[in-house]
Amino acid sequence: MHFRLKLILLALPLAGPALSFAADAPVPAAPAPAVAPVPAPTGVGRMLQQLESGDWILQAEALHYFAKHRVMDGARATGALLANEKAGPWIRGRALVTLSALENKVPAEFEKWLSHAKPELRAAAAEVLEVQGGDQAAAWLQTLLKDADETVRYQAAATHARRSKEAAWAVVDPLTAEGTRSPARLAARALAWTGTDAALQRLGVLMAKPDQLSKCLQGIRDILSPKIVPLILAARAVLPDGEERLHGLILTDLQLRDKKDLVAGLGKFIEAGGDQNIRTAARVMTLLAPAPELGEPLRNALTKVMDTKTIEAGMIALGIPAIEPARHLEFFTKQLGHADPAIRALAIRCLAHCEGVNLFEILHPKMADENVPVVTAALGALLRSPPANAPRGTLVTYLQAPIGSADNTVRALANEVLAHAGSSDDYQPALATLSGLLKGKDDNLRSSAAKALGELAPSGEIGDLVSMQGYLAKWTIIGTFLNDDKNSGFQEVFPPEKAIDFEAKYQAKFVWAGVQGGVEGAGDAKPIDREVAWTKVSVDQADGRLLMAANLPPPGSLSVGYAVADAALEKEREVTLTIDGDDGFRVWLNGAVIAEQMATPDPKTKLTVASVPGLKVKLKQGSNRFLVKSSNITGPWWVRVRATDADGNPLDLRAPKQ
Amino acid sequence: MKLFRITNIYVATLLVATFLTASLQPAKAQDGPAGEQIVGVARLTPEVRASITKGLDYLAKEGVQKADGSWGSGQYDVAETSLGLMAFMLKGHVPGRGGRYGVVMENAITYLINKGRSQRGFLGTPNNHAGMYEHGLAVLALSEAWGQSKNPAVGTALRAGVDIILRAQNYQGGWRYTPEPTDADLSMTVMQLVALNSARESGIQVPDTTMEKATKYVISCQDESSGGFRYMPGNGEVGFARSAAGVMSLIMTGQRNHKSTQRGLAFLKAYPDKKFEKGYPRFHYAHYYAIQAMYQAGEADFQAWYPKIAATVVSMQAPDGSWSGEGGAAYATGASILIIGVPYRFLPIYQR
Repeated sequence: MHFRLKLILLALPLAGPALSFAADAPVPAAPAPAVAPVPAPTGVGRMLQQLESGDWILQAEALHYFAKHRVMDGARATGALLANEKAGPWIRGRALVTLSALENKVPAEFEKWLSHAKPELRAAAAEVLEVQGGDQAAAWLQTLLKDADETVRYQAAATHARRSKEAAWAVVDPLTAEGTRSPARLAARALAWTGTDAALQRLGVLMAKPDQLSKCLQGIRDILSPKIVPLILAARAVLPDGEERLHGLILTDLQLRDKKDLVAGLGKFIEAGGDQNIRTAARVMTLLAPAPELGEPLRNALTKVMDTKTIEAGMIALGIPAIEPARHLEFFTKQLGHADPAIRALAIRCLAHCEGVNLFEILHPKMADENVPVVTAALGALLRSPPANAPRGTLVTYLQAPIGSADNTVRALANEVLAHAGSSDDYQPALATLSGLLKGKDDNLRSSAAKALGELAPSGEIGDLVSMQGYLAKWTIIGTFLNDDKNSGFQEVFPPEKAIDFEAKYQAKFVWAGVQGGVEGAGDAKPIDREVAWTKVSVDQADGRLLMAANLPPPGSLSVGYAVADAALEKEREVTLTIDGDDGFRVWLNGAVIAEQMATPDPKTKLTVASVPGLKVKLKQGSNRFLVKSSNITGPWWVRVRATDADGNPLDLRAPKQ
Repeated sequence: MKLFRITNIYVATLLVATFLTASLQPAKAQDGPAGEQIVGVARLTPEVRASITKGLDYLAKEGVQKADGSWGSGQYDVAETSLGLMAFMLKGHVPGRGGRYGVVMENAITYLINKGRSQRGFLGTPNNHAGMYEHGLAVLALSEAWGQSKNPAVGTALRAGVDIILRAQNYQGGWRYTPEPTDADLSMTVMQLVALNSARESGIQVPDTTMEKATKYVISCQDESSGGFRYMPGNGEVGFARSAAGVMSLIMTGQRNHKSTQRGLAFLKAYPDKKFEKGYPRFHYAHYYAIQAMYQAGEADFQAWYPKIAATVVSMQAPDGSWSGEGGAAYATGASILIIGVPYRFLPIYQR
């Protein structure tokens, strides 16, 4: 069925108000239906056009709109549609219902529709009588209940049930008894309005049939009795997991109901116990009704449950912030010892949602859990925990098991926790434990260890970490020299390229124009003179990057800089260099160019990283001088040089002793 | 007492409360050659001293301060009143005491308190993009007045004002135009950070996490290559005024030696000298923050900076003692006094 049409059909029965009055009481004048906010005039105009379109789907939508917003301007066109004998009987029936809602009474010449040849119009007339018709309705209904057409009879029964409640049972009972082939929507409606225990029990049976459920929900959607909620929950409990569409319809229905009724229904459902009921209640709580008062009953119910899926559903519900997970701390903590690792991991995630809890204390035993996902969950939770809760000075011991794990993901995560929560007191123990990784061949573990140690290290010791990984750490740099947006400066020969004299100072130029986004009021591209001199710097990034912009005068954009590093070797050897930088570089080794690379911005990251990996060069005995020319147009600006042996082991090339 | 107020007000208005400790020493002013007064590290020339006095006299004039204790032309009265009030405190005047100025200050305090009372603690102008900025300035002014004013309602207004700031911090750690945790920008964040820091120094409890998150937000606004600061992270131009604000707030929160602070200072110094010229955009806003940043940058930087900005500010003063600027006469006058009055900051309290 057309999706839009389905929505309209679901909504149409809502056009009338939900009324309640005893069978023998005088029928009061129907109050004005609840009216949605006044629609925009453009919407009304569009709907009037739709009504005249001849397309019954568009017409149905327009009728629904008129009834919902009580658009009196639509009454004349609705009446015309009703009178149009060329139009289909179903859409004319909808017009009759809409006209009645607009006029808040049965339309003129109503009896004509009660006895119309088309059953669709008679059924619509019966529907109108749910809320209109006054004292005459009862007599009209008697006729309709004997109608030859089944749909008309069932609609009449539903109308009768709405008007007479439990007194309608005598009529509704035979129509809905076991074995009758009744139209589910109208049967459900009749049973729901009747509202007796017997009627509701029968409705429950009807709703438990997946092939009837959708129609039943359509029939009862506007019947907002609290007695209906448990029936819907029960229907959900027995519905197979694969019935996604029906699960969705149930949730949509429950969403429309009064929150108090829903919470009360869920409470009773939990109290009734049983895996299915508890699981259903927990899932509905999670999605629709996260009421704190349901937390304790759910938790108590879960203590008697063995089914893993039910425990999972319950824990997810208890873990959402609105349920106040901290109130269930003990329960979550107990689940840390559950035999199923999935439950243990879930318990950790729930604990991570508990405010004010020291996870470092609670999760300590989980560091040595035999299951990788559990340890991963625990480390992930610690990463989101306040660092102040971490054991100061003994964090490495605390993380001993994951740091030594055979699983590289766990080891990398443990390093991240160390970086996140460690203090300077943890640096020496961490260095003792992780230095092997810095000197190892696994780049992922090396970089995570470097990141952790970089966070903990005193600023003066980061250079050591960098050297251990094979990066050149001590540099003497100078800049900035003028560049432009075509990178012309990269080809220009500036004084440091001609001769390296660390005592020399040079007149150079810079411009503000290249800064990303511009520099307010700083002027345009007019170069400004300034004197530049050599400066000694140590790499202060644990990943080995020499930040040019951070170590040279601003602005760092449209700039060229030079960096010199000396490496000492006891004897000649071949090494493998990996050189990278942002934007680009040219590298001389002992006066000869060994690498040159420019990059174009990566469309995704917008970064302009150039890289020359695996460059084999021969270093001589004694001092070897690297000169790097690095240029930048805009954005980040850095260079990095790393040396390894043929097997990928880092070489520590410290500067020769002075 | 007066000397203590001087030190305290510098902490407040000049936003370096981090350095104020229980070991405060009253500062000593000395007479220098040719009538100059040496205060702390810089010399207050007779011209600057006269300029400050004329400015305060202007603010204290009947008719300039309105009957309700406020200054301003109606649009940004809270901001103008806050700055005006702080200008008096800068020189050590005490609310409620010391004759005419004391009354003027007490009236301004009463105005701010009444503003808070009538707006459930919010001190800014409602439904105004500058509302939260005004709120921060007023919290700053009240936190400095607390303990000095005899008005017992200062503490109540201050606590309510701080609560609003704490509740309005957004997920990034910053603040924006309205007292709600929506988005954030650097300018508004610095203002609230400064206010919170001052309130904290006054004894109001402010969580560490609030300050840390705000500091991180400020750093996230720094441009990686130039070291200058943008209005929002990665968004818009780098600017002198916003860089001055960013650097000063980092210094104030104890990040004086942070690489971001040092790079920001380098940016401020390298920025063209047009920043000292009369009519430079957001002149008072920029230099209100910049002068404090430069003071912390070190003796040489401050000595190179202060005479240039002081000369410009003094030259901009109108014959009636006022200054004019983007935020109104009282705003410009208050800010001008706060800029050129920086040398009143006494050593050894302010450790570089």
